[in-house]
Amino acid sequence: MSEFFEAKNITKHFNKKLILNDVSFTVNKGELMSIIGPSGCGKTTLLRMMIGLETADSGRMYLEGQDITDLHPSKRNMGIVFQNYSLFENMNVLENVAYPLRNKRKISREESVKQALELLEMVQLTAEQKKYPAQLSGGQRQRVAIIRTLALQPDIILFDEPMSALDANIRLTLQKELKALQKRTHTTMCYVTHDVEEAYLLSDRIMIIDQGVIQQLDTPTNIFRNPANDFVREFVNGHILDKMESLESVVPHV
Amino acid sequence: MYKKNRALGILLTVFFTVTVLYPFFCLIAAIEPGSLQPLVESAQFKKALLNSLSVTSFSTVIALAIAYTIAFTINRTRIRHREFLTMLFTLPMLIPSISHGIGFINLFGTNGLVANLEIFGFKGIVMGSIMYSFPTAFLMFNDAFKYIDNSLYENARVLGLNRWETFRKITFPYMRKSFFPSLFAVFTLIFTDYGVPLTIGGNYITLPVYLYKQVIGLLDFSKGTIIGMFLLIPATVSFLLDAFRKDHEVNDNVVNAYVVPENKARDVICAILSYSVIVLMVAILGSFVYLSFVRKFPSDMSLSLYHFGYLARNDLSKYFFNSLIISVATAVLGTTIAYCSAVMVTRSNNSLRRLIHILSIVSMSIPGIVLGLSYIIAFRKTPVFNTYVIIVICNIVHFTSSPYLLAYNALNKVNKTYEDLGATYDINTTKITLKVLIPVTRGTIMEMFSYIFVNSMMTISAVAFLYNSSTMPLSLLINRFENSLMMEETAIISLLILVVNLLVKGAVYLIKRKDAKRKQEYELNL
Repeated sequence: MSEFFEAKNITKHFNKKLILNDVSFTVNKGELMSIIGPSGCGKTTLLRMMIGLETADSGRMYLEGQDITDLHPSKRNMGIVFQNYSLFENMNVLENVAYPLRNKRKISREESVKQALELLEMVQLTAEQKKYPAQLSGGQRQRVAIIRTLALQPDIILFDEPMSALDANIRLTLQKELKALQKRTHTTMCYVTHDVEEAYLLSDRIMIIDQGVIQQLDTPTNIFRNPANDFVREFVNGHILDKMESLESVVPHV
Repeated sequence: MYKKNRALGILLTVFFTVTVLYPFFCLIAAIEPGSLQPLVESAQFKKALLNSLSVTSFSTVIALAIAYTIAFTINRTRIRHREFLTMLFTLPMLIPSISHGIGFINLFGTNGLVANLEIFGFKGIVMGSIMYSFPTAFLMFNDAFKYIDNSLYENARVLGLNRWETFRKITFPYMRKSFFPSLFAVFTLIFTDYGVPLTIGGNYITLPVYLYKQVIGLLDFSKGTIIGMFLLIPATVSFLLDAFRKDHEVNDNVVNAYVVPENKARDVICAILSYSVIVLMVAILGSFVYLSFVRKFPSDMSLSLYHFGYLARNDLSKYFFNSLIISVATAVLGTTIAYCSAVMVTRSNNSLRRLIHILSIVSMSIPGIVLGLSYIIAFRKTPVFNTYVIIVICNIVHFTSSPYLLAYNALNKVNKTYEDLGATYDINTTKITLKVLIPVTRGTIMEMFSYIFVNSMMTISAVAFLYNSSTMPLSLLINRFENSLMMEETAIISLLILVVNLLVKGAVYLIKRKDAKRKQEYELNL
């Protein structure tokens, strides 16, 4: 895998509060990198800056060597899946996929519908094409949001805690589907989550942030086996202990 | 995209500055130095102020009591046709305040259809004001009742609380949130209204009537302005209290609707009280219907279509179309301005958004009569004076605050990431607004339109200072015919306004019901 996206010395303040402090990292082509950390650590801000929805106070961003720092979000060829999926509630599933496609690609309605139907078939949602978002389950909404983003064949897809509102069973199914989809399409993905386990299952590499600073960026195995500092150790172990406690409450003496 | 946003922000700021702030400053500047003390110390002013305070306080207390009783009946009893009754209780909001005064004269005046009760003065103003203002408080109480979750009452039963304790611990704290806003809304409405006291007040002069006579009769703008400042006080207090209210957010997460326990005695008492109000309302409207077909009230009560012919021969259609032009233009432009302002404030990062929010709601604190006065002072030497334009603009300022708040609340509830998503797909804010926000908030937009239309159709307060013979709206004809004791014509015009407003409200109701039904069908198909 080669360096595909690069962030150099990114700093960001909100109302004089330091959110990201001189952050630098790279994302390799075709990998799925997770960004984890405690609430308010700056992970969502970092994601929004990657796609251009927030601007950095200082630092530059590059995609395939090209400086994209000042590019409008629509010119970056990146896609984003939001926590609430952001499906247009007045449009049916088919239109939710076809309308953005038609708008960005400047293609005809017929062509956009044709492409949207092919994509819906890929995630077994053809039967739901005429349904509105309110009529879909959480998992189905999630699939529509992902397929809508994939439709534009973006260089990178960013995910902002997309599974946090789903129950554990659906989440596990979708995690597997997402991983399979990523392998099949070789799409580069950045995935923000607060769930260490999810990051471990999905990622090629994990970035752990705290107080606006990258604490460790490494493979899941290395992060668990060789934590870079006390924060990473406690963050990862604490998460596992939480899981153990919740499991113990269901199955005593586990 | 950003340029368009900025341009719209500047345009809205300029609009509100010219139409709200500028007239208000002109109003203050119109006060002649040294004129305050003589006026305030004059016996006439003191009498008018005292009259206004006493009639308003008395009417407000009764209007609130009636509104609460009716809201209780709708939400806490098992009487039948509650949805229909709810609509019926809002009927008084669809005719001008002046018509309520006339209605009581028809029923209980010197030659009343029902009785001769010597109602001119304090008694008459109180009756007319209550009828005109109670629906406002009723709607607020009605809303408050709907937002109390039944689980609270179930918990109270489990804890063994008696009825009084349940009321004190659950119902009262929830109702309190709407009590003070209702109190101020009704007080302000009655304190600043001149329609009812003008017709039924007789020699009992209130402040708005005093202002009206000073400006319309004597063209004394300085005196009118000082009186106007006094009328602003309750509206401003109400506005500030509302702006700083901590419990502004409505709890719309009611999981379980209240289950009304069986209690026949309660239902019968509440039904008697509520139907008494309906009988009075129907009697007023019935008096209009009856008088419309009477040859000459009260001397010749034979039935005739004479007055319809008389109005047709005397340009009724001209005034009717004036009203339609003014109301449609005000509703279309007012809805557009209020909606654009709400989109700007809730969905953009425009630096002017806080200013636009304040300017959009500040006009709420200016009573119509004061607004009209400020417009005559600010714009009487401009080319737009004596045209539809000035009336439409004045009405927009007068009536768009509430619709703005409707749009503000509705748009705040729509997914906040649509614009972010749009940015990544090259879908600009205008497209998001047209393709997503407007369809999603269609019901709210229709409510905004009908609110502005209905109020523009029946307003007399602001426009009384701004019309001329070619722009005069229908509602002002009521005052003119009442002055000439042509009660049959006032009845026909009141009914005409009611019918038009009912048609608009009915159309909006039917469209919204169809939308709700379609949504329900989708959910059932899941």
